[in-house]
Amino acid sequence: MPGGYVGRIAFIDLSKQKYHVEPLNMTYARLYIGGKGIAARYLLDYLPRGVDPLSPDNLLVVMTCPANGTAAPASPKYPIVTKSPLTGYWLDTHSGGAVGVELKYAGFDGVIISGKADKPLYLYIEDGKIEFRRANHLWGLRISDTRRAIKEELGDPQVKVLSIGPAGEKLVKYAIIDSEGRQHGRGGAGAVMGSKNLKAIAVRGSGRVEVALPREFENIVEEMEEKDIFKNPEAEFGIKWGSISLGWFTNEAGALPTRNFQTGSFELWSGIDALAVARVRVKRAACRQCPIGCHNVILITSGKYAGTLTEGPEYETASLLGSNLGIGDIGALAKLNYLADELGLDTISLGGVLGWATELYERGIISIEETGGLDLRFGNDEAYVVLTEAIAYRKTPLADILAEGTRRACERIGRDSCRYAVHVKGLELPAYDPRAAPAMGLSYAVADRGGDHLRSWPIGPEVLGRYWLGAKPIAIERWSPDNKAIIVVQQEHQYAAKFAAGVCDFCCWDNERLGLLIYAVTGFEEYKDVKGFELAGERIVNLIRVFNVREGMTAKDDILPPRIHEDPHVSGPTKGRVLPREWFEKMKREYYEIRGWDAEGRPTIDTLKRVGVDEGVLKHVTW
Amino acid sequence: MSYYVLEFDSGKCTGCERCVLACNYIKTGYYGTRDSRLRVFAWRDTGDFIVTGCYHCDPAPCMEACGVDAIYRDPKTNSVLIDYRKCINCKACVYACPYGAITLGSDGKVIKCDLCAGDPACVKACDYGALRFIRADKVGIDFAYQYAISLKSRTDISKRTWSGVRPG
Repeated sequence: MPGGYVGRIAFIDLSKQKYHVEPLNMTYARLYIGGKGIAARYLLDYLPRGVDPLSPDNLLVVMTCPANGTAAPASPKYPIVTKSPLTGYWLDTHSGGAVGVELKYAGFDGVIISGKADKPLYLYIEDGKIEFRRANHLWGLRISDTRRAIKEELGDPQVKVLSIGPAGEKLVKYAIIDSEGRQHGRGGAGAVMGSKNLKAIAVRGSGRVEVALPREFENIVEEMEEKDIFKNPEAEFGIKWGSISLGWFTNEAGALPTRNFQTGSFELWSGIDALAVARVRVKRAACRQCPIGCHNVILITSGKYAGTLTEGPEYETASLLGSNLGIGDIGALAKLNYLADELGLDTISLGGVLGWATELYERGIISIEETGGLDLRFGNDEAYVVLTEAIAYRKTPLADILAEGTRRACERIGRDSCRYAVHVKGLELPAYDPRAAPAMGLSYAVADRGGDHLRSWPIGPEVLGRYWLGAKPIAIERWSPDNKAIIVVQQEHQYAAKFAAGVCDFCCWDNERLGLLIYAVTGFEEYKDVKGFELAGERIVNLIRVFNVREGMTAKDDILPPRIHEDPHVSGPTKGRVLPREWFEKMKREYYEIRGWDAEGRPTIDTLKRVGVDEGVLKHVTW
Repeated sequence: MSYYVLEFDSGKCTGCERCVLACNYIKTGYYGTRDSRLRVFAWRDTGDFIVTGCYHCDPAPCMEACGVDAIYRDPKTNSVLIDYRKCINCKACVYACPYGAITLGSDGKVIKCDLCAGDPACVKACDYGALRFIRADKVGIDFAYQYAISLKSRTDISKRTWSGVRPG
């Protein structure tokens, strides 16, 4: 067994309450590294085409990455992969919670869960064995209560728990899965888990992970810690403030979603920015193995939300639940953050949905009768607290509709409400407004899981005006569609391969070192060279596109919400800006060309052969 | 009093468990937690993290409990060590330790912290300054200093500092 893998995959059938273990397919491991790459390959094998995401036939895959559990810095990230109930397409949702590492110590590279239990269950995975345990008494509990109850029941405080909250049980389409206080946030993986009647997965392992080349590994770890973390000015922001520090940059650039994306900077931002968070911070915390420690634990000591103790807010949360709702008070933000985490809702999608509903109410599209008496105005945090809880339990008719996500909700409400919905493929947009950074629009439109910022991040090079193609810096004109597709393509390669290896997006942006890390952990020679690393990223992007096209995705789905093209920002540094349709179309055309996809956005056979996917993938290509 | 002591500050600990990983690795050569001499307990909801391990007590209950005199004190590092040539693996020390710091390793032998002969791997792995290896005469000085600061600034709230928070 090459280092970095433990070599076992568990197939768990909840309907029959049985499982079997198969050796990890090493061809897949070599080609697709780990995590989302391997999981995508297994999904192609085992998930039939066109499955309803909330049916027992859908698969829920918890997959680990080669760097998980080793001493590689900032490398505890692992994905949960499934078909998203929010978008109907591919979903991989990562977290740095302790469960991924523990799963590897427990002797599994991944678990693939199918079927549906007839009664609520939770799984207990310990050192190669899997137990099915009743969870009737856990059903309905909030997330931290679930975690505590399971640890008590199993009599081991060091058990690590993955669990869903009430929102997952109620099949809210953007429910999260919690991993020891970190969240698998996007795309509604929690609803998939809820649809299987699976409340939690508890993991404990005393096994081992070894690396293939210990000496090379120690060298590269040392080099990464120095160059990528402790002497890296970008990482310094993460170390000092956490992700919330990004808000200074986006607010100034006009990319901060404000009042349902009506504008790009928020006049009350200083109330919830990194300084405001630092003022109420009582503790820093870190994911397993991570020297950055970007989490802030905050305690609100004054105001009507005094006593709220929560981990967060991250930048996306502060933006979508803060500026996007017109909230500039750290107490209210902390309360909403806490509720979303405890009830099991994705803060990004929740913020998108609430912002959208507020705009409808302010425009008179929905009435106060429909909101159940809530005066849903921007900045009215009390209404948002009530509505958040209502959504998690689907308590009121409006909450029941909002629990479906903006795309389905606007179809049900009708009345021109879709005009104000801000999503790509059903996934609500995160906190970088494309009107302030045109390439971000392309990034959202072509991202594998819908509107998402973690597939490429061109806003950085765009706003800073510099980008390195290889060793050569090229000038980037911000307000132009030129040279943008290539940035998105190259960043997608890096992110795909890096996530597959298990490295956090908040650290380590050097392809050469990332490649060497994979080489040292696994011993696969091809990653020693930076080209091999980038090609693996391209391979994974294409593999997932094959999955998506098989599920019916075409170029027509790679679009942006009308607001981005039609409604100019009403204030701030980007006042009057839109992302012109012709710019977007040009970038998209270029993107497909560089990728080697046809005009319909489908990877050609030649492209797939060039990037080196295995033969098994080609038989899924029916176009 | 020129020996060194392991000191842990929970206010600075982030629960990353790099100390556990480093301990396990230096003792066994694999990555895992099973053979670590340290344990981390985490309450992630409240951000509380506690590292537990051997405090090298004096007098040491484990040493007193050992019926075959296999546990002794190293005069150089003042650490409490196990002499495996004498140890009969009876586990009396495990039960005698008030802190649960002696455990059974994956090879079935009792294991405990030996301060890595005066150069602990866990301290080198801690990037947050929560675990430190300090001269015995300086034990507790930081805690005392923090307390002094809190007294000093009691009249002026804007100058108060908290343990574990880096100044902005």
